[in-house]
Amino acid sequence: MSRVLLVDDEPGVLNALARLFTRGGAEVRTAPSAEAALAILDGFAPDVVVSDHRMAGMTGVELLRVVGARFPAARRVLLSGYVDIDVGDDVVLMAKPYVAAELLAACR
Amino acid sequence: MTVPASATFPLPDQPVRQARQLFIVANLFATVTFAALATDLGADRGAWTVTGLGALDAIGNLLVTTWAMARIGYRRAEDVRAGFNLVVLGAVAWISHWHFLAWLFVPFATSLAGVPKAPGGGLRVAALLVGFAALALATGGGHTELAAFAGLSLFGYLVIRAHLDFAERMLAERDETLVALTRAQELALSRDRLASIGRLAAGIAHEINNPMCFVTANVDDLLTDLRAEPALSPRLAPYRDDILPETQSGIARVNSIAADLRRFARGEPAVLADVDLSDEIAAAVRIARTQLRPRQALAASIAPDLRLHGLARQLGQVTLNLIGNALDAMVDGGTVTVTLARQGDAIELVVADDGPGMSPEVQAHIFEPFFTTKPPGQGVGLGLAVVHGVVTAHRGQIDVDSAPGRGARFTIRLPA
Repeated sequence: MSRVLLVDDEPGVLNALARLFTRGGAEVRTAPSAEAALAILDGFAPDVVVSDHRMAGMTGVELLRVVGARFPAARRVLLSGYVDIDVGDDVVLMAKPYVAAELLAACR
Repeated sequence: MTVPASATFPLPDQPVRQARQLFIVANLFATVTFAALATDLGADRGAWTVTGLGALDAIGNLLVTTWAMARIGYRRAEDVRAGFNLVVLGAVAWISHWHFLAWLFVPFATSLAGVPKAPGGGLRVAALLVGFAALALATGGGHTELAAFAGLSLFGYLVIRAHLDFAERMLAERDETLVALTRAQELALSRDRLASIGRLAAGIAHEINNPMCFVTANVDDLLTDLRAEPALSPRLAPYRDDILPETQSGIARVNSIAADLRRFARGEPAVLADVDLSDEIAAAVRIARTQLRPRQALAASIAPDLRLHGLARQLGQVTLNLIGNALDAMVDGGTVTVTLARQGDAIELVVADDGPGMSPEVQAHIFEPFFTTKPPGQGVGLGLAVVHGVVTAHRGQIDVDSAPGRGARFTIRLPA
């Protein structure tokens, strides 16, 4: 777990996630939307992407699909409050509010 | 969601009203017959006596239909009428030497006695026929006429009976249809209500969840950091020792309500998996056994290897919630019975108790979030809402059968 990209349109969530992963020793980048995440994706080449699902514009599931295509080795985690979504293969689905230890374990 | 058994449609005034209408027609017919008979007999053969008896019969029947029926009730008034007609019309027949017009009164009186279908109708008809037959045999009535008119009377009575049976059956069918319709309508209404409450609950849960997500994380981190401090000032130490742990348990409560609301609204994030339902239910029963209070028993009959595609933990929670409710309801002790069995294409889970049961009013709301009959502080009223949400999320169906004093029985059918 070295480079972690965090995507959420809620600044509070983004800050809490950033603190969690920074303290865990990761190099963290944050994006407030899927589009912003895509803009830094190639330059950052993340090992882990944690994304919210419901955001204005592109959804988390769509973003993680793109991530999966470009960085097949990257660990992908969807943080969401909704069940009616087909998260796709190899994506870990995690409920909000997340349990810090569980989230860290899922990204390891 | 039980339709009260009183949803039938009695017609209390119908027999009396019908008797009055029939009386008008009957009187018209009787007057014509009496007039014809008197004319045919002529003055020397008792025309005036017959006319007098005819008038007496009309007055008697009028009194029965108006005065007697109101005072002694429909059935006894008809008994009186039958007896009265037997005597008066018998006298007319005797005086007229069983003139064929007099015979007409036999089927006439019997059909009045048999209509409408009231208790004792058949008995009255039989008594009238026997009475007329005895009178005819004793006073020189013709045997052929007796057979013919008795047969006609019987036939008339049976036709009337058949019509009444038919009408009664139609009424009963209408009642059944109406009860079924009412029930279907109530079910649809409660489904609609639950669906709109579900959308509201999903919205609230989502809006609470987002901020709670970082509130939870921030408070957790703050407490972790405070605990890592070697020497906290006396001002901050209580936060580490009491205030923040208390805040955490408050947050946990909010989060658990939001999670329950989400389960009710079928929106909890989780991935469906192959579930051994038999195992899950058995585990739930084991946990529930530890919660038994004195004089409470838990019986389980769980068919093995029943599997479905679904959410294991939630199905376990459904069972625990139902058993927990049953145990809470049985304050005076009792038995909860859990049954899991295959029923055709579905798996059926039944949780039944012999507790105090529920009124129809309570049953109409039990699946709504925050509806509770427990004292304040003993449950927020989300248990059955979660059960409903989880069952619906599995494309299943839940029914409750209960009445005050008769326990409660929850039946869940899940497509396997």
